[in-house]
Amino acid sequence: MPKLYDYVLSGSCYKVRLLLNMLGIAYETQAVDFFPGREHKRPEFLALNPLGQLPVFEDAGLVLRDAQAILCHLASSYDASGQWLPRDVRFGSVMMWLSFAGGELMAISGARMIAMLNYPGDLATLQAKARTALRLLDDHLADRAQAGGLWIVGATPTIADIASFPYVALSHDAGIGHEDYPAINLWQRQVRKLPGFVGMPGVPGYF
Amino acid sequence: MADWIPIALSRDVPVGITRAVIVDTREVMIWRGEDGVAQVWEDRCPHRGMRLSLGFVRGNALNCLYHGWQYGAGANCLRIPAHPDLTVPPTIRANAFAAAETGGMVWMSDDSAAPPPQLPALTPVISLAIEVAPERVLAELGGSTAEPLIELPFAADTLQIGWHRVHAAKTMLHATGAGADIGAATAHLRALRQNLEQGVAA
Ligand code: FES
Repeated sequence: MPKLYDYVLSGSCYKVRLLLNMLGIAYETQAVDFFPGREHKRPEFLALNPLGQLPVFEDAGLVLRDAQAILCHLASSYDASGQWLPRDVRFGSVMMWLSFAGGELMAISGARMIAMLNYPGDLATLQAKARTALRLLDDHLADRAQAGGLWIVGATPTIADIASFPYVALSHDAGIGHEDYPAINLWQRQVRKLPGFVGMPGVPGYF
Repeated sequence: MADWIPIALSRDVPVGITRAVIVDTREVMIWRGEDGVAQVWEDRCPHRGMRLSLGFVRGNALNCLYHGWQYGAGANCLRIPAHPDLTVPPTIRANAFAAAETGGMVWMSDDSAAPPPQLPALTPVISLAIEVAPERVLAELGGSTAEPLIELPFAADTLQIGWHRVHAAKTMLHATGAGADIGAATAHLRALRQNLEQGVAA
């Protein structure tokens, strides 16, 4: 059975849990004591992922790190419909937004670790970067809405939406509300209404 | 505070949704139940102060996320799940502002004595937050802080732009138009946003 090395408060692990649930894939979890145990920096975990980051996903002998890569694997291996990672003109756009979700949007994660767990770092700088990323996404979603679209790419939800949702929803933990982002506010509600949606601490499972 | 303040585009508050807004440093929330009427309340649950914008709408009621206290359209508490048999005293109420919708925008007022403005229905364009003081934004767009609307000529149209003060250094615009090319008007307003913010940074 596929296995997710998981930390319940991690937004990146949540990306994977979301898609596993939406695709109805049976899986087991192994809890990793990220905080305060720092288990992800211990030799046994570094043997799985030398970057010392969560999540890690094991599936039939494959060991994958990076939430975005794991989403691609799940869509590619388990989604017969092809909806979540479309292999047509949408593919490049989905990849572009996946990169954004694993890149610029992660400023929210950095700010959240400082705000919640007292991690060292410059909170104001990360919040400013997070706001820049959120505005970019809000502008995009407003354009999509003006064209009649609900999702980040195309007419159906894709892994671009799944990869982007967790840290957008968790931005409150980083001291950033959604007041400035009306299009994000509408989009995140659509994500919550998807079949198989689950919450996590800080993200209610119903809407 | 001015009598009636536009705080959102109606389009951005469809049935079943909550929307948080900061109005002159105050945390405010808008929600719309199945009856279609926009409610504007302080963003604070009377129970333990949870932000009501994080709650959820069912039917014509708003439910607080924290302990599930449920509020009706009149802002009175309908139900306390921990005490299901209790008839909730009418003194338990959310703090509601006067609310109105006109010209494609949701408006709020501290004091419902003055009637809300009456505006023709216009097409929603975009709401934009600008990290610049309202005085400066209004000077640039040819508006006045004494007026809730800015008239901005654009192409063959005149955009009607509601605005509200988020705080001393941030403004939110709510743009509508009569026959505007919405995409072009949006791009125009985003360019204005960039110019204004770069002017502040410079
Ligand atoms: S704080 Fe809202 S129900 Fe308790």
